[in-house]
Amino acid sequence: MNRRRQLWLLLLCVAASPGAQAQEDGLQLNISNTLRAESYSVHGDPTSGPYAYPGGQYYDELSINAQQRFSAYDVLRLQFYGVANDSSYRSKAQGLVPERFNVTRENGDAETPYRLEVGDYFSAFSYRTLQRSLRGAQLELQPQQEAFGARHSLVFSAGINPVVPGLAKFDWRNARDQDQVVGASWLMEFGPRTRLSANLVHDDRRGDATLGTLERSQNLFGAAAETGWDWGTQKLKLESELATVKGDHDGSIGANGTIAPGSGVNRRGQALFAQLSGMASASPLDYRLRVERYDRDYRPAEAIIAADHSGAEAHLGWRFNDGLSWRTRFQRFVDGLQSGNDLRTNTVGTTLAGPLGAGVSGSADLFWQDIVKQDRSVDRGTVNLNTGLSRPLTDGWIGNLGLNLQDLRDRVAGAQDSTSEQLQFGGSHALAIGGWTGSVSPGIRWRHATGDVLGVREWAPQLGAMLSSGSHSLAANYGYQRLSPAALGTPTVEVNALRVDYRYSSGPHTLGLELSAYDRRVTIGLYNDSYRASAYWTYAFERNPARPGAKPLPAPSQAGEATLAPNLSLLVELAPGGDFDRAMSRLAQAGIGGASRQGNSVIFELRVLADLPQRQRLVIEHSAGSITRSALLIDFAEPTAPAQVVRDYEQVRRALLDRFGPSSSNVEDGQIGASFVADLNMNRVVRAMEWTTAAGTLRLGIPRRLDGQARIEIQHGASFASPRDALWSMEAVR
Amino acid sequence: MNDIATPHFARPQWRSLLALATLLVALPVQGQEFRQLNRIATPSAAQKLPPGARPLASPRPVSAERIEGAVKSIAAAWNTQQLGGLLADNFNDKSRLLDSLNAAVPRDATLRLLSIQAAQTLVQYSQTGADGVPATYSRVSVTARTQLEYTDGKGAAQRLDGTNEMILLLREPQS
Repeated sequence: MNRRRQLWLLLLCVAASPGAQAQEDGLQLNISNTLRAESYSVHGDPTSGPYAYPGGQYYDELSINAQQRFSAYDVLRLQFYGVANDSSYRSKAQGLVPERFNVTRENGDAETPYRLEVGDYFSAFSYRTLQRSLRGAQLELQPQQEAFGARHSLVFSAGINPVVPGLAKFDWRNARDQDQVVGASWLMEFGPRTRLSANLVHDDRRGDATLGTLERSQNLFGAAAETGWDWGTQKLKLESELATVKGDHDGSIGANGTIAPGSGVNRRGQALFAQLSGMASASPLDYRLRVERYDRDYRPAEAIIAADHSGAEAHLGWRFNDGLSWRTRFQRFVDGLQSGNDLRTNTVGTTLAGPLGAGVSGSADLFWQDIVKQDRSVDRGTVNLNTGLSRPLTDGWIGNLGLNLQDLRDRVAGAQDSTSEQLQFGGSHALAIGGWTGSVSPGIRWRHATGDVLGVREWAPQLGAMLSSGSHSLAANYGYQRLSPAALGTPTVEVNALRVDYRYSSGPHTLGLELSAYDRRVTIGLYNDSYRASAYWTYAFERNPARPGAKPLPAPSQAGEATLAPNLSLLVELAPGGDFDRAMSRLAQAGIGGASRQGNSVIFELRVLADLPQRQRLVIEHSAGSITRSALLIDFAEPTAPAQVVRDYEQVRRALLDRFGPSSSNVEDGQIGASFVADLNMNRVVRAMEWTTAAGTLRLGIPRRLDGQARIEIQHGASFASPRDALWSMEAVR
Repeated sequence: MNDIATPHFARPQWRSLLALATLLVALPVQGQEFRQLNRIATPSAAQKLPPGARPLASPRPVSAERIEGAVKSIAAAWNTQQLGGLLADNFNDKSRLLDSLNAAVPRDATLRLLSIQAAQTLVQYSQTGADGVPATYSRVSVTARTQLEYTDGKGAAQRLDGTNEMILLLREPQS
């Protein structure tokens, strides 16, 4: 056993050593396995289609998450992700591929609390020093005692860069130590608004003739600080960082645009960054000033900044009461700063986003950009407008409109100017076919561009549809694209693409089938016909004894035993399958009357949630003498005011959680924002929370409706379709 | 980094610009310019997390379906106006990336997700958002294989394969 393996085993033993007896039944385990089989068929020119690898492609991937808690402050976690791969699309690595592995021990019971990670971990000191995934070990110590008036954190990190050029990323079998990183970071926190940090990083890379890389050795030191203070009504924050690196890098580009040999050997470079940001406590104003400069030789191997670059930026923002926001930016960037032939980019831009009035919401961004290279080989200006708007239309349609305009003036002698105009519009409408519900979304894009090799006319209609029924869901999309280049002799291109995805879920099992067809025709006779069929099965296993499980709600009382009252228990009492006449009689006895009827639904104007001033209606839907569904419908006070919508929904949600305890499931997709109604009707916002009852399911949510209106509904039904199938509203009650 | 500032796709280097733009989308979304003290919970001090955040009693693994959906959202938003809304406010060089995409990338360029290679949860905590709704936040590192597709000025199909690491902050509601 070599020394490196011995070290790995030692680290794993430390991370996994109990140090205390495991809490009984404290093991939490989650396993997910997906088996996928795919077939790709390519005809015609193989380079003109989306699929590079024809034939059968297969893989099985496994994910394991486990946690063992030894005490309230001592926990061990394990993560593993691997694949048995015979697919060129899944990964460049074939066979059994362990991709990610991490063991973390976090112990707050120790005299010096520590966090030890072994395996794959993300090491983040700062943007300018170390910010990347590494494979190795990282130890963080957090002494409990304060010193110098601050709390302290010490991080020691040692690992290799798991990304090896030319090989699959994150493949443990190909782990090579030719790129090693060692770092240490000391962080001092002086209260909630002030931090200081000092970071050291050493990077060593062996040269590799096959990869074409030279030997590289770097030492980096950085110091960062952040502090915040109030100045009158202004709440300010200042961040800064200074760093220096000494050693080698891969070379820098000179004035002729090529890397000069030896330009990356034994160099020294500096970095400077400062940012002042603030907001006014009494007004919706915020602002940010930022400057940064990175020398030509400031090229830390494990950071994410661009070398040989400087930037100066000013950002200003204003948020209006109705949710509309306006932002303006002024930016000046210099690239190739010390190359002798720098490139300067000046940008002025402004963005308006949110509700724009008359039911229209969206955003518009306009910017001017000027780019000039010192030797004038690049000299041009661009004006760019990008707009996306949406608005509820009549008959339940939601319309959207996109506009993009670009005007490029190229001032280099002999170069051509170019322009581009793109317009796209589409819509979305709810759809119900038999027991399937969903939406249909037609749209079209038109584009006209001028310029030497850029001139083109394009039009591209498309049609999409989504349907679901119970555990089944279906999505389909068809698109056509016709590109007619303006240049003489350049052929016209036509593309037809169809995709159909089917999915079925049952308990821990999910089965899916994806079908794609792609056809590309070029008028000079070239073509590509490609087909893809992909089937998969996912099995998810969960062992989670520590998680408090949601209990089924109690069964409704026997008829006549309990007096009904206008509160949330009504919905449990009015259970699906119950006798309708008896329910009406009990309601009458409770003094709840004045019902109106719509079809097979009886509607009571009734305030069930006393603290909510909005209109509330109790609905009982019946068939053949039995209750099929009961519901409480709650109108929004202001459906166009997102903050009010969130408050209303949260108030109702809290009332149900208080009354019924933890829910059995909860689906929440998308943010409730300025375009809430449009987003809801385009399935971009989904809210559904469920409790299991003796008679079925109690569901709270904001369903999508065929008439495009939004309201909160609490329904008690025998069963419901998937929460993501948003068309579950009581449509008959408007 | 000269390429990023020379966004004229009539020139030979514009293909590398497209690849670079793809890479930039994949760079980490981080909340701070440098690290914060992520305090370890001890008997005498609660775990320090972002303001208003609480540690989770037991972790909630993020499902593969959820991760794939998030990466597909990024791929679908790439080269559209929706991308800005998916990137963190202090995503490094965010506005510069968006301007470069607007000005330099062919309008018909799309990003296809070929596969999710692996995912790892880095941090997980519970926090009540600005909207007052408590949720579980998971910072997840994802390796995704993507393919950039467009038709060039000569009518030829182009596809650029890339493997990227993305750091996602996923929000899931609490039951």
